[in-house]
Amino acid sequence: MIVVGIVFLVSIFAMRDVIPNRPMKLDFLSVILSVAGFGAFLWGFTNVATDGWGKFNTVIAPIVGGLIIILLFGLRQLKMDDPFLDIRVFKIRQFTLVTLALALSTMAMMGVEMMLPLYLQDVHGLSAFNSGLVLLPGSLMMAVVAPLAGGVYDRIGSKRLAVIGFLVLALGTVPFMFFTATTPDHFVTLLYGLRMVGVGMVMMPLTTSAMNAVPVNEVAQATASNNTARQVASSVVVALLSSVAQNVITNNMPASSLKAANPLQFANKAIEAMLQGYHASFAIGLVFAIIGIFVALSLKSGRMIAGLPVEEQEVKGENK
Amino acid sequence: MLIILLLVVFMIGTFFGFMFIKNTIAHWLVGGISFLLLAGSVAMLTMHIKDNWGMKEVTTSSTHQIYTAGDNSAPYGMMIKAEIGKNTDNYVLVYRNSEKAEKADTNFKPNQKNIVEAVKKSATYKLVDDTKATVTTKTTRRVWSSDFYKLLFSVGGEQNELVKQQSVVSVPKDTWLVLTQDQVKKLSQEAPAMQKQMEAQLKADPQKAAQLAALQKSNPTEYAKMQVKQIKQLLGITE
Repeated sequence: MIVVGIVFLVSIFAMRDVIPNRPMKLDFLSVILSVAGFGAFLWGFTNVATDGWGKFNTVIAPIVGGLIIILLFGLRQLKMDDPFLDIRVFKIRQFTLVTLALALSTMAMMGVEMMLPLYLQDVHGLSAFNSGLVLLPGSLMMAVVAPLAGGVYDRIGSKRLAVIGFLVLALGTVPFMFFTATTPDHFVTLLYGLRMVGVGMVMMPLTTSAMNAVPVNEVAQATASNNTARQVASSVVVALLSSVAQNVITNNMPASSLKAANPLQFANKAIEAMLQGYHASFAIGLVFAIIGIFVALSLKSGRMIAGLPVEEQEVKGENK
Repeated sequence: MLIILLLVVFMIGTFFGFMFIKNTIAHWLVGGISFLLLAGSVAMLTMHIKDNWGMKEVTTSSTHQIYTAGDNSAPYGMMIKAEIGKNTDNYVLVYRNSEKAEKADTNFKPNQKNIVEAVKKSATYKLVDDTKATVTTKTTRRVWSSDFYKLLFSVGGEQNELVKQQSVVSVPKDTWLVLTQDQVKKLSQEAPAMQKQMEAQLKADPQKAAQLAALQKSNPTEYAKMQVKQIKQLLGITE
């Protein structure tokens, strides 16, 4: 805490801008539109878990309304000379594809990452601390893979990394759908580690690739668009996962009359219902990983060189 | 243990093959084959997780004698039962596991912190035509079906994983009482009155008293039977 405080204080004085700033006017209408649009859209999605998809006031209206406002926001950005969020970067096909792939990898990662601690705690009866320990080696795998993937990216570009990464991610997700109440923690750690190798191969190189796909003067805009897409993707997927899992669990929950008649059986069936809910959310993670394979396959192969216009971004890497 | 090694080796093979080998044929050969082997290993692990592939079930059975939950000096035996739920035929039973134990043990109480394990265990009782009470426990556990599978998967501590445990307590039907907690309570409330009534009866009829005392010595089983019958009548047990 003290360290954080010191870093914060020092950073105010010691940090220098890395990328030159341009003076910009803040367009208030854009701010309002973006806050209202994304706010309503995400708020609608977060309500799905509690209210279900059919509720008009808290789910359908904000999502649809939010989309309309976002659309207006987008149109305004296209017309402006100096846009607030330059969505024109999405005209660059490679950038759009990479951003899509990144969003998919975020969603595929979340599909398991979000529900796995709950599985470990509710079904295996682990404490929060121990469930964290079970997942720790997996997270460390990302740290191991990232520099390796970075090295490979510098030589052959992101496509092959992304394709293989998504394949590994999908492969590592399959066993999760068959987890039982007694699956040993070691296997959970092992398979989670395998998935994270896939995530590590996809995420870091694709982020770099996204930035390299756009001209240098648009990097700031591209970062903003890229981040927005990922944030929206992860919010949507969290809402989707929790609502699907919750629905599956509710539908499979034993009748409460069983609780009095046979409490043991009731508790067991409740655990099975939870398992089914988690399986559903793991399956969603798998679906995103599989879509990711196809998006990755449509990426341009070879190495991207930062700053070159897209037309010149031909295959600069090794021959394929 | 081996499965961890397989996953790590084939993952490295896949990464190395696809990312570092420049020759196209070798690149596909090493990367492709490693990936297929990786997929095969994951498939094996999935089969193991899903259907316990590589394990078999072994059932063992053990029987030992049990002793009364009540007063050791009483001529009849007593077991206290509490059904888990309604009509589940699954009980928590109180009796002594060893004759010299000072207090009766509570047996088969489900561990609420580990429902997954608790639901595999069940216990019931039956009344038999015998003089001794016993408990028979049938336990089914999983073991590796061969050393190969043990080598492959034995990291998770699955050896001897419980599949099912069923205990049946056999209670002599004439000389033992199986009571619920309510019945035990009622008995302890009404016992002094009954005792007094009996003593009064015996005083009025010294001949019968002598007979009873003799019976207690010569045929304790018969004496116990009589007492059990009386208590059952008092509590309204008709089984």
